[in-house]
Amino acid sequence: MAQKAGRRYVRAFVSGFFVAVPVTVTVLDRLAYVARVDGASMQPSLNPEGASAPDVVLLNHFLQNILSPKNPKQKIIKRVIALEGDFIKTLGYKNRYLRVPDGHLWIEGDHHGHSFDSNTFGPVSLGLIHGKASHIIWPPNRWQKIKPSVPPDRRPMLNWGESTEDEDDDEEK
Amino acid sequence: MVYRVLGRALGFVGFTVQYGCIAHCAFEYIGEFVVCSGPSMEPTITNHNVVFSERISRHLYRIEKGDIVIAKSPFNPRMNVCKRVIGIEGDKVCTSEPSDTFKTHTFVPRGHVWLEGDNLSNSTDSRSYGPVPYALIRGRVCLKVRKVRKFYIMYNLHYPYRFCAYWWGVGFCYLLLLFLFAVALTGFRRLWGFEMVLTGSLFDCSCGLLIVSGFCARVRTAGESKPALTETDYFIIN
Repeated sequence: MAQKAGRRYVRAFVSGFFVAVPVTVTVLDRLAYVARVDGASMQPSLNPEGASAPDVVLLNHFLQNILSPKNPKQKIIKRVIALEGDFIKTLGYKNRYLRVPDGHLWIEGDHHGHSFDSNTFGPVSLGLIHGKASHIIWPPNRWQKIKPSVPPDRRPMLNWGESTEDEDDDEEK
Repeated sequence: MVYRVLGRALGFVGFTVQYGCIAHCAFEYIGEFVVCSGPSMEPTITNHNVVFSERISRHLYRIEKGDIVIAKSPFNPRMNVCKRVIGIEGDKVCTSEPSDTFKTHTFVPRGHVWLEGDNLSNSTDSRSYGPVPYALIRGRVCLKVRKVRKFYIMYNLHYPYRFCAYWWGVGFCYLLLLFLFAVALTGFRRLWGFEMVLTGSLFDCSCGLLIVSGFCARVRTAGESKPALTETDYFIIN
């Protein structure tokens, strides 16, 4: 009798497991992902108080989020400054002026001195994008929708597409 | 009456969602079939060959030199390329043509790989667009499908057989197809006693059929659609 009950519990657990795990993994991959922001490279938009109160953002997979080209295990969060075809003026990159190649993006952190971004490793391929940070969900006093905007001094000099549409990306661990 | 129909419809939706998620996890984390087009990997992989690429090595960061990989194209994220890894980070690779007198070399930067097609004269690869970030790699090609008389067999593309060993790879693929076949056609009740997975009802069979057809139809294409022009082409035109 006890053996039958035990077997029922195992059966219920495994059947629940086969439902919960694939659905959760699919939702995290395809729909939405929550990530914590570390580091100071996106101040003052994200993480204004630094390590004491890190922001948590909701990443929406319908747009983007980025894997680092230097370390494939690390995800980084930055703002998109220029799309393919735009001419931009760089801050500390080996070329002073640059046309962003096809299929690539130029990303920069808001805090220019403390940021590991395209000024260090150049334009990044669109295939590395993982998701777009759409909302800040923690701490509760910082609940807001993240608005796409480019700082006026970092606008591209000449763009081929529509005017600057940018997204924030994820965190530096 | 309406409630019964609604109940059945909801049950159907639930099963579809569950099987869809299982299929997504299988394609994303285990492996998928890929159709390769283009001449850049001849004679190893010819135009319109179907190969099976596994995702496990990529997620565990175990891609090594000499592997054939499927990667997202650096210039168009919707296109995939199928190339061989010639160098991983830190390696010194030769970038000059074999006919050049002076050989030039570069070092592959951290987090990148150097990809080259096997058909060196007819392949756009890292020699044109530089090293590719590791994170763009989707999976490692391990098995190729070939028709032998009337049967399709899969044989291993790598020697020495590593990680995805021949029998493990072939056995897994056939077992998976067999499992799906059993779900779809026999309506096998209580496999392992788990009613959630197989109830033998009509909805379950149809979901299984959907997954089987999805598995066969969801083949990715990899490779260039037209061959790159080479020097010999110009001579022929003249």
